[in-house]
Formats: sequence, C-alpha cells, structure tokens
Amino acid sequence: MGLRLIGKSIKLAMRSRRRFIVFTLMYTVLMAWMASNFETFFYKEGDPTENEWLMLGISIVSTLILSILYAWIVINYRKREIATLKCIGYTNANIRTIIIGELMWVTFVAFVLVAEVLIHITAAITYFYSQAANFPGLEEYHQITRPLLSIWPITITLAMFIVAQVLGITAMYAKILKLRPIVALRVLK
Amino acid sequence: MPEVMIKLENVQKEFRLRGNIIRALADVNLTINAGEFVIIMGPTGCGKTTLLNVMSGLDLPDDGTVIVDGEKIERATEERLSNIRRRKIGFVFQDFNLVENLTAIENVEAVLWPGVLRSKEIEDRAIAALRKVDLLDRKDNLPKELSGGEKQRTAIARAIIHKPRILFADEPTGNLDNEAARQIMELLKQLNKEMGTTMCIVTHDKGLVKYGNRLVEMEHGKVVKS
Repeated sequence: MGLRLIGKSIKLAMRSRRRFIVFTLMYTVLMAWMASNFETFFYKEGDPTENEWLMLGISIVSTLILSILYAWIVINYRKREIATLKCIGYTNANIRTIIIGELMWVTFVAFVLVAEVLIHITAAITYFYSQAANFPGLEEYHQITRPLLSIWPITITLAMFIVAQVLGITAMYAKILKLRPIVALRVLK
Repeated sequence: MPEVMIKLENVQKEFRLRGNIIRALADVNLTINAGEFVIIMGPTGCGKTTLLNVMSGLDLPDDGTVIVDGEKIERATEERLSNIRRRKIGFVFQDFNLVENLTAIENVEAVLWPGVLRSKEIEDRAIAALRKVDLLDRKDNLPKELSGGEKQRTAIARAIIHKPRILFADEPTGNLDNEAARQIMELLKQLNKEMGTTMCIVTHDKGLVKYGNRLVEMEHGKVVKS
C-alpha cells in the first residue's frame, strides 16, 4: 500500500513538470556545492578557515530552508487536492506518504544528476591532466591525482539532504493535519 | 421495515461570523432510509450544505446524534471518519475536484490506492465504473481535456468505484449547462436504481426535484418539509 502510494507520488511529481524541474535543478546545484564544501573539510591539509566553516554552514542552512520551502509549496499548491483526497477516505498518513514520496524523488534525481555531472567533469579533468605533460608550462598538473569529489563527501551530502527532507516534511506535517476535508467543498470563483 | 441509512437526532451546529453567531442547524431531526434518492433544497444560507457536511462526517455537530449506516459519527476521530468515508461514502462536488495531473482513469483509481486491492483489480474496477458512466473512451484524458459534463461523470465514477452505501453530492449540476445537468441527474437516478446506493443531493435548482423520490426542504437551519 505504502509502496503503491510512493509510486503514484513519483508520477504526480513528474507530471507537475515546472515545479519538478526547478526544484531538481536547485537541489542539484546545492548538493554539488555542499559536497564540495565537505570535500574541502575532509581532504584539505590543516584546520578549516573561518570562511570555509561559513560556507559549509550556509550550504546546510540553505538545504534546510529549500526542503521546508518545497514541502510548503507542495502542500499549499495542493490544498484542495489534499482536501479532496481526505474526502474520499485518505488518512493523514496516506497524504504524508505522497508528499514524502515526491520530496524523496526530487532528492534522488538531483543526486543522480550530481553524480552524472561529476563523472563527466572528472573524466574531462582527467583527460586534461593526462595531456598536460605534452604542453610546456603545464607539466605540474600531470602529477595531480586527487579526484574532484570523493565518495564520503557525496555520501554525507546525500544523507544530509535526506535528513533535511524529513525535517521539511515534519515541519509541514501540522499543515496536513490541520487541513480539513471540508475545504474541498468550497466553490472556486 | 426499511433499513435506516442516516439518522439525525436534535442536531445543532453554529458558526461564528464577525462576532455574530449563526445557527446553521437548529434541532434537526431527519431519517433517510437505504436506497432513497433525497433532494435537499432551500434558499442560500439555509443550512443545506452544513447538513450534508454533518451527515457525511466532513463536519461535526455541536450537539445531537448522527448515525450513518449504524455507526455513530458525531464524536468520531478524523482517522475513523476517513475510514467510514473510504468504505461507505462517495462524494460528488460542484467543482468536480479532479486531480489535474491524473488521467480520468487514474482519478477514479485513486480512491483505492491506499487499500489492499491488487493494481489489476483496481484497474478493472475503475474500467467498470467508467463504463457505467459511459466514459470509457476518454479514460486516458487529463481533466483539462474533458468537458464539464465529462468531468462530472469522471467524478461520479470516482464516487462509485468502491461501491459506497451512500453518495453525497453538493450542487452536482451547478457548473453544467442544462443538457449536461439533465444527463448527470439521469445517471445518478440510474445508479440509485441499479446499485441501490442512497443518494443525498443538495441543490437550489427546483428543476432537479423530479429526479428524487423524496424532497427535504430547509429554512433558517431547520427542516421544514421532509
């Protein structure tokens, strides 16, 4: 039952195209940014600077704000739809499953995009490094072997995003509970 | 003796509007039997929609007793009301209230998605419901591709897919032209006969009275004729 509702929520997310594309792109950019901040923390030599702490903090707070904003938009744009679903027998838990499904799907797609883009950028950089020896003045780059992003920063970023989604939906759950099915009966002007 | 489907005893409901107390339902007593086709009429603000909301568990009364198909609902939790609606009640709205991003058949199926039925069975039931309302050929269309009458027929298919005991409709023809309104009422009448579903239709259109087999008239929150 839960799985079916999650499947349908993915379908609903994909069909609200504009919202889906905008938020997926925003999540992708934010994810890449946060992952590169974590990369700096994990692999740079010496203590992180004040500026690096600040950047990491901003990327985490931005993720939280975006997650709450997305949940808020999904619930607000769909007030009438949620009320109608309640009228036809959906429980609050059913509605929550649908919203979580949509949020998690956007996170997953953004993660795949980040991974996909990183693979291509890494491949391009690797190619550049491999060729650097042939160009006068660029020989030193031939020695660089460090990847663009390592597995741990990406994994931690994904985990952070999932936590942010859970927090986002928790913050908005009160709105779902408060929404009365009677709203569906209001006539649209 | 006929089976009682809905029973209201001394039901009261008040609203507060800009500091004034409005008595939407004043000591309403009403019994609706299984299989009846009830038309609830009255002027604007007489309390007919409030009556429908209270009977269907969308709103709770301030006082009195509401029994729907043997279950007392006046103090029920939202979880229990959802459960009753899912098993026993179908809704048809004036604005159709279809989910814009779902096709006609998906809108109908949506009622059963949270349940335990297999997907194939849900699809079969949705097809049967759409066939009943003569809309099978438009099953893959989105609501925006359907006319008002077709949207309302989709909404009716959605309301009957789970074979409810009672179907509530609030001004179901309010947004339709005369011909579409006639077709919708004929369809509801036919479903009432074929499936034995108890129908409660709220309207202010006197032309619809002929479709019902019982008229309930309201004025100032009271049932004046039933």
